[in-house]
Amino acid sequence: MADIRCSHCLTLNSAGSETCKNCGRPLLDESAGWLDNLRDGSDSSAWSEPETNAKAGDDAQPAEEIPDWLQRIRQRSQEEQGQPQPFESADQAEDALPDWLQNLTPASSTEPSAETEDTGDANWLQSLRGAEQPSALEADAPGEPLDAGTADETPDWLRNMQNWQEDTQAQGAVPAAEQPIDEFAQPASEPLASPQEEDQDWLAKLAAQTGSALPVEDAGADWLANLEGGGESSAVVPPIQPSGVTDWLGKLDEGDEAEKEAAPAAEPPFNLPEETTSGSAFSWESEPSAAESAAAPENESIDWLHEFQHQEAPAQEPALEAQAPEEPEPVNAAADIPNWLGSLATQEPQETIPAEGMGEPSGEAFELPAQEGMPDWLQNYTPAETPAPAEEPILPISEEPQEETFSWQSLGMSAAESAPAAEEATEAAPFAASDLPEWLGQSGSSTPQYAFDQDLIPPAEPASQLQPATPFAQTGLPDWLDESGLALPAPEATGDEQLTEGSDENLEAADLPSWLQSMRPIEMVAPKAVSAEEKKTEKAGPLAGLSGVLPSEDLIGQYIKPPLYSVKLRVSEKQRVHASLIESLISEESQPQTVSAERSEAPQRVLRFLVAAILILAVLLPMLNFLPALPAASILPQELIAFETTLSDEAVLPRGSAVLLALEYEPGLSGEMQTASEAVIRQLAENDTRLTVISTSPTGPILAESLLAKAGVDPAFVVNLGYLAGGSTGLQSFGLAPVQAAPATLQGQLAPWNSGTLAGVTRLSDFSAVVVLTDDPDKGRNWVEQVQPALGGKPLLMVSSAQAAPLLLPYYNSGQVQGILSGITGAAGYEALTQSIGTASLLRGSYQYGMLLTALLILLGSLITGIITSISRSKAEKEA
Amino acid sequence: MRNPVATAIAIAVGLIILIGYFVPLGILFNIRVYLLDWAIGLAGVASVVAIINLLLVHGRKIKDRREPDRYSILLLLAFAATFIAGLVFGPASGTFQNIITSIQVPIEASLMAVLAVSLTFASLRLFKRRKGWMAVLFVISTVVFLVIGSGFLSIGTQMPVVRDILGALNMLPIAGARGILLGIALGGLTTGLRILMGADRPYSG
Repeated sequence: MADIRCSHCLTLNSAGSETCKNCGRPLLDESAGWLDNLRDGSDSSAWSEPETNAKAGDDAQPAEEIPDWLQRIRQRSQEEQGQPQPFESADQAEDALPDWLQNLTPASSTEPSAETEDTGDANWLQSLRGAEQPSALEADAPGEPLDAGTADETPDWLRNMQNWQEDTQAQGAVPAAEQPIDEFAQPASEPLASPQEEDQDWLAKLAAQTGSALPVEDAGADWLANLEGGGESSAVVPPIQPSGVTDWLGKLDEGDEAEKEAAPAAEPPFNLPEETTSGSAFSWESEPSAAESAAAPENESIDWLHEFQHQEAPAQEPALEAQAPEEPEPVNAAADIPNWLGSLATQEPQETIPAEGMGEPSGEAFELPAQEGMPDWLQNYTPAETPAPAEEPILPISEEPQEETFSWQSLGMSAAESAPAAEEATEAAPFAASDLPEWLGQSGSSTPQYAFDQDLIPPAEPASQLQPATPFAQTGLPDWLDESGLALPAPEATGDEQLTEGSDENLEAADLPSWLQSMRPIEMVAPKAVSAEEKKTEKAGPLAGLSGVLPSEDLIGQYIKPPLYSVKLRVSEKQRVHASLIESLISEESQPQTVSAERSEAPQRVLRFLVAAILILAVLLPMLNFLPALPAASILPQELIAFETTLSDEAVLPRGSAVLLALEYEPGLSGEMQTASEAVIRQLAENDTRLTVISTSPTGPILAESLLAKAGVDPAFVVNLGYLAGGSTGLQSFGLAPVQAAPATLQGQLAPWNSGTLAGVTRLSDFSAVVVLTDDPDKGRNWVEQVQPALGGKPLLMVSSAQAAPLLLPYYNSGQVQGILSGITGAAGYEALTQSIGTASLLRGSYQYGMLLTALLILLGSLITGIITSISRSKAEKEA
Repeated sequence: MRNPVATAIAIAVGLIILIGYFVPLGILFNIRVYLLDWAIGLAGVASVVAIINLLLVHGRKIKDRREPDRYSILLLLAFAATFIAGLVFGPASGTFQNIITSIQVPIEASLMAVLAVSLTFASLRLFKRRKGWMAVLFVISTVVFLVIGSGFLSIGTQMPVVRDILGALNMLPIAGARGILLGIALGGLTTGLRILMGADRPYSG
């Protein structure tokens, strides 16, 4: 069981310890990384750690299962180089490996390869896969180390590699062929002795800058593995110029030799500091660091990594390939390509851009870490690299171990080749002429999937500047590598202008995908229709020659003469009639009316006097007995007869009985009423009737006195109660309580109720009869309504004027009134009944003649008027 | 309702009087008598108020600067003389009664005669202005009843036809008068009910 190295402080802890003895942090199981397994050749599950800790050995592939792609690469390299296939001299596990992978085997050709022959090859591939798979990429992405928290997270497989290297050194089983690699690795271990977070950061950033060029890293891992085992062979094998291997490989060989001399200690390249291994960038960085760190200061030990990213790593690939035939493959390639390799192959189109940008921004990327605690050697790296002349001669690494810019110089390559210039990159691309496995190119092109930290890594520059960094950009690159974009030929010019020019010249028209073309705005593509107005050119005026001006003449021509509407009013016949009528009315108003001659007043006055004279004569003549009275009516009214019967009935009105006489007429009708009632009063007086007079009219009591005096009634039998105020109300009260209602007489004395004339009379029912003299039907009605109920069956007789008789007759018909004597005619009839001669009989002739004359006058006047009207109308009709 | 108290009093008095007509109770009778006495007294006072109002109105007319009414002076003088004569001689005095019968009766009788002539002449003018069946009918009715009233047709009462005609003609005014009386009765009943219910408030309640 190997010791466990702490992933945080890199302290080596004894096996079985759970926590780090230095930092006290828990030791992860990942400490037993895949490199440990590779070293020990034990369980292959360690290989799966980088990918997923959960997967232990599921992806372990048998050593004999060499992928097809490896076989194709090997065959191609053999064909091109004319070298014998390494599989002929290698064991069975090496048959499936390509040449360059075979060069990787020496590092583990002896013991490690034997140990990991079965599963180690597959495991480390799996670890690479795990580093390249999206999940691993996210975890070990180049952008991720930028975070402080994740900078310390060294992939397990790197730790395993480190442990494995240490174990190898401890065992002293490193073959001589591995010494060059050990020389590279030895200095690399120095940074490990002083691990710093900054180194981790810049390595992480570097990995991110390089786009986490998995293919580069993987390739680097591979060729480092080859260097590990084939370092010696690199010295043996000449540069692979004719076979497509560029000069850099030869320089690499030279550098290897120099490194061998400068670095006695042989350490596996996997002893690179863990901080520098951000998953995939490890391999590329470990070798140059090992080579350069032998003479360079500690801080500058990893400078070579920066250029190694762009130049050196590919430069070593051919060397590794050259070594491959001689050195057994430490990794027995599996016959079947793992899934993750297949997935990388699918990412090939996306790998071009990151691969190009991987090497170019190195100079800029190193400037940023300098501001954030970048190590000194890294800070010095940028100025040392940027002024590097493109055509600088290649110097062995041993001669310039102190240079900051390691890259290819440390490997025996010129600075120009290590510079990010395009032409150098293309020339130095070691893998350009070799057949790299597809997975390698694809993995290298998968870097764009990583997220770049814009703070540390500027955006990718043009491809022309990035291409030089790709060491695989050679003419002999396999198809898969060409497709990945890593082998794009770099322009010869080193400057930006040259690069730009070269890039412009080589730029091809981009082929937009159909979906993108469909998204283009139609306005950008479709030709804009030009209206006729815009096409029209002004011919006259100050705007002559100009097109698209506002039209003027045409607008004028567009106007149409407005239609003419007739103002003649359409009038119907009916409207004309109405209009003529209104006109005639207006004209008549203006014409003066003819005033008829006023008639003379003389005829009318004569007529009036004539009528008055006739009437006066008609009244006087009967009174003067010049005209005989008309014969009295033989038939008298029933009410009159009833009246006379009642008064004449001694049972009803015995002699000396008390009779209430209500005098309810006005002085204006006193002539008729006195004439009509004189006969009645005289009859009552003849019967010694005690008369009690009362009136609701103020003049009634005085008229009563005159009436009684004219009738010859003895005042001793008469009690004049005077005026009863209140109208109907007074009558109501008088009917209920006559004593209270009429307590005094007209003379101002107390009414002699129940004494004298009123002896035995305290109520109305005590009167033998009530005779009402009225010329007003309303007053007669009040007596009927208010007093009659209080009479107790005693007769209520009425003497009325001829005018009021019709309205009082209904009460006679109803029985409420026992007899009515109306007017002069009724009085005359009553006198006739009583066989007395009174005033009524004298006036009856005058009354009859006056009534007849009036009726005649009305008839005569109506006839005359009618005749005159008809005559005038006939005249008017004749005139009309 | 501006004066609910007056309305309530009016309704209460009306109901008591009405109930007293139908219910012969002593207390109701006495209440009716007292209320009626108050009414008679109020009516007498109202006559005095009316006389005062008459004097004030004619006094304003006399004082009117633009058109002073000279006849109002005569009225006021006649009133004063009559009032003084009544106070001096008393209403039962023969002298005072002669004033009434010698002045008032001829005047009013003359006015009634003038009224009769005026009405006749007005009817003729109406017949002349408004020519139509109504005017003719009016004239005919007037002439007919003048003739009937004169008793000229009583000569022919011996004849059955004339008698029947006269009887029919005499019934016409009686029928009309009865209709008028019925209308008056219904109007009085309705007015009494409205006053009892407070719908009509002639006392400005």
